Amino acid sequence: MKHAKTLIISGMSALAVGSAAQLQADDGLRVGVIGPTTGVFSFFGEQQRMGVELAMEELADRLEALDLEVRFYDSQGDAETTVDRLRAMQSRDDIDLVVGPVLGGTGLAGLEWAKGSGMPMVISYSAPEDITMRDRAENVVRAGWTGAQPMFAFGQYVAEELGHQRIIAVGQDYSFPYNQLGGFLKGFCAAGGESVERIWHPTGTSDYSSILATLPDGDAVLYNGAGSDGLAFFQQYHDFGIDARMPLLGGSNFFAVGDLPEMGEEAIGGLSALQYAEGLETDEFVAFRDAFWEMHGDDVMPLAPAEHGYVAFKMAVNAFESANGGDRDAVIAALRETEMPDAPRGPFYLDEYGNPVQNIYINEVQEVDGRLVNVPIKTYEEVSQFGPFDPEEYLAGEPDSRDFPPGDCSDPYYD
Amino acid sequence: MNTFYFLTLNGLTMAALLFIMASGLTLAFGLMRVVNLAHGAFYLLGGYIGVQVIRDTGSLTLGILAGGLAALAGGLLMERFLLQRVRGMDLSEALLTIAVGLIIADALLVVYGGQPVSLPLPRELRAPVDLGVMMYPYFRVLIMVFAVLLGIALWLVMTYTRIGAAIRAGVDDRETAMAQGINVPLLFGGVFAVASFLAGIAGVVGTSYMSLTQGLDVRVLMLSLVVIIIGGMGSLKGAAVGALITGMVSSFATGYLPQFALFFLFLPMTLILVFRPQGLFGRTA
Amino acid sequence: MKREHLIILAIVAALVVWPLLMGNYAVSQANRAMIYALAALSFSLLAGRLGWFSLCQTTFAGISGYTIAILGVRYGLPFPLVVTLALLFTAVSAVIFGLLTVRSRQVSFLMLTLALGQMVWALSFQWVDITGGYNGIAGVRMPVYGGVDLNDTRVFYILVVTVTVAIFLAVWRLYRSPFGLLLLGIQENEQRMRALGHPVYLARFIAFVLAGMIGGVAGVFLVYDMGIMSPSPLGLGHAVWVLTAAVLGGYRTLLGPALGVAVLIALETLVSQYTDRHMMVIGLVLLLSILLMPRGLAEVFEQYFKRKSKPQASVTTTTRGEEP
Repeated sequence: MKHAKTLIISGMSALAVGSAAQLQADDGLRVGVIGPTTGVFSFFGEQQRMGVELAMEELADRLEALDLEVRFYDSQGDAETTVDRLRAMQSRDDIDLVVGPVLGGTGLAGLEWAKGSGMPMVISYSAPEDITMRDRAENVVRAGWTGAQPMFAFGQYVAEELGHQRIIAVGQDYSFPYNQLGGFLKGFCAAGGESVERIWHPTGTSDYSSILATLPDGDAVLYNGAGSDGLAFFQQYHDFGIDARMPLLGGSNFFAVGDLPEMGEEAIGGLSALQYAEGLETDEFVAFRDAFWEMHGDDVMPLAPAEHGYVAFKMAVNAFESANGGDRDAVIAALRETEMPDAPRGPFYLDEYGNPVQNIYINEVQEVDGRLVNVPIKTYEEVSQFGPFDPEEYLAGEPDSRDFPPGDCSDPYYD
Repeated sequence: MNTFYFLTLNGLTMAALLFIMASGLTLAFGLMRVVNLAHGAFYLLGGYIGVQVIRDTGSLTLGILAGGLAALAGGLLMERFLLQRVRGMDLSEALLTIAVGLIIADALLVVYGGQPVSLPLPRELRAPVDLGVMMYPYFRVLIMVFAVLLGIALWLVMTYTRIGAAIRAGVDDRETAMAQGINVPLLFGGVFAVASFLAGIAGVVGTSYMSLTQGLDVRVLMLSLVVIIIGGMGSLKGAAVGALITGMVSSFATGYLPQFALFFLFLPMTLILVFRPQGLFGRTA
Repeated sequence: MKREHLIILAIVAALVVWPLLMGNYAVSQANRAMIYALAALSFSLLAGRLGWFSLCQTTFAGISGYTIAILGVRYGLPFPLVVTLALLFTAVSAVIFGLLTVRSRQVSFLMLTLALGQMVWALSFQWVDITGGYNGIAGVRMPVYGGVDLNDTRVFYILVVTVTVAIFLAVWRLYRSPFGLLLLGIQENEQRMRALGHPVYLARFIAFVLAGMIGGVAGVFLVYDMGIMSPSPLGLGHAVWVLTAAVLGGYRTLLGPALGVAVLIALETLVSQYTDRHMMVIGLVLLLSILLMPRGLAEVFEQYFKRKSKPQASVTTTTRGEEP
């Protein structure tokens, strides 16, 4: 008797929990937006969310016609949480397309999951190059960039326009900075640079004084990193007066992801490269920026993660429209054909691997209307994720790593 | 040669900061057998509050004091309202401090966001001064001087006052301490307050060159633990020596083999654990 | 005695029924819950029997997960070999950690395991050539055997459920064995056990390695469940999460840790609809558990049932057991 009772109780409670977990599905389309809206990286997730919200407002009529609903998910910047949320999207919430993830590690986790599930996915700011290269999947495209993409142009610019011959590259010790420096080297050496010496430090280093103490001589220092590491490096670089000896160049994220106000006036004149610049003055960009400020207040500057979220969502809506609904294969096919002639960052289209071919801006930090912004001083148009190189050749080559490509431009590799 | 001095001075700066953090932690442990795992969160709390006060008022002294006091308030509240409820159960006390640390760090995330924060120092403080062997930023020299003064002050208190004697006697001698007319609960609260105050101050001082960010609490806590494990838990001298070793190793490793810096940071601790588990100056259990 | 069998039977029945009734997401949630229940069991084995609160049990899961990711993805070794090596390597790590910590007591053990765990965590994103650093290693998959894809949520569920139940039963036996009682004796009075001629350090060391191995098994499932190995499961947040679950559920009992994990996951799901403050919720749960019910939910329930059937029984008899 007691057996039966326990069994019944446990069975009933299992059922109750299960029915609560199971949501009713209906015919409408659903887009799931995932990004780190809490935790250390919440800046990126919040930017993406604001960008998507702006796009939702602008496209309100078309969303209604499509019967499209948007849901936001918090990845907490954590790969495990990301996979869990993605699973919930597919088997609990009946999502038809995913926008995000935003960060490098969560992007790779998302790609891994998308390969197994076949879900159409528009990755936004996440930049590991293999997402649209060696590990690419048919159903995954990207609205953003690869780590190396803006750096081909930057390397070329530093060698040609600034005339620097020897660069000291300091960076966080993981694959994104490797990739950034890889792109830089390929552009730099091709444009007549001489050598790049690499110094890697563990992510999360807060005291750079000893790295600065042993810094070799060169024409300039390139720092590949951002966030608290970048800020601390910037601060200590100036504390020890190294800026008087060698100018400091930034990796793509160094000046670009919200640390400028903390860096202060010393950042003015700082150079870096990205497919985005909040100091753009094109009509498309100004309209985007003003609408963003109108919606979210003008104390928040729309930066690249916001624009990428905005654009990714628009790509999704366009794809649903040309696919006439949520048929997976049609949506994926439409996504891969994406062309965005009027994106705020400038026109772009996807290459056959699913990554944007877009403008790369060399940005200089300037003070505009009392705030520090990245203002484009030179534009390289239609740069693909392979830079000036042939895709087949590029893919056959070794992926960038801690000491590849070679730091010496006279190495046979560059011939 | 210049590089050698540079690295040594960097090591000393880091050692100074580590000592400010670890001395309070180790004293509280010596007296109450409580390891405050919210120490890193108090560093964050002090740092954020201190930086905000400095930005609002422009006064560095006020900011450092405010940071210290904020952490002190946190420490006192935690001691009074939480730890006293489970006094005597060392583990429960330690777990409570973990919980408090999580809550404080998450609350700071709500208030200050996840973006890193820096402390812009006035130019005269950042200007280098001549130390005879090389030029070195003034505020870093000040951090070292402060740590030395703090060490001397703590040593005087520990050696020559009744309170110090009580602290050295530790909690085992509770009756003796009471017989000497020392109010034990007050002493506990006092030591905890001082320890938290120091963590808060370290938060503001450290932000003068390291940026302040979520996650730093865990790193700071980890470093402080390494220091007192090396030096011996409960020993002030141990905290000083442990801080010196950790600071120096970290500086030279970062200078010459940056990618292995963390490995070298933990090497002394592991060696100590193998050959002298109670730490350099710890009492054998 | 009988009640215990009944509860176990009921749980097994619920575990069998679950995948038949539930959707995919609920099944994958159950997978995660069981993986964390194993981690919490690994923690509770030390906390409940020895009074050793460890903050490095998730580290063992991480070590085993990384071994699988590295050997499986980078070197392409076959699945059974990879799992064996992962468990072996976890055992070796547990032996090393055990040697470093076996002489320490309560609070210093907590600090040591915190420091050691954080050291491995730091290493996991610093040693980029091996671990892939921040981004981790993607593409960790189980093989397909005879047309059965082990990665399928439900197939994976069967695997996890079998191993989890087996391990819980084994630990149940262990708690009642002379060895389990010896561990309790050590916790109660180390000097006396030593005087009686028991090898105290050796017993603690063995318990530590066993607990580490359970963590390692959790790691095997964790990495195959996620398909990617990154440093985050080794972070302090995960260690504290597991500790909180075990304290909430009751680390002195066999089923407490599993109960704690289930309740904590349910609570997080519930709370996430109202607030984003995950860490604060964990912190509050831990704080309230310690202050209000230091023995955990499992013993609160037990006491409640006991009082209903035979009011004279007290909690101590169930937790301490008989002396050897």
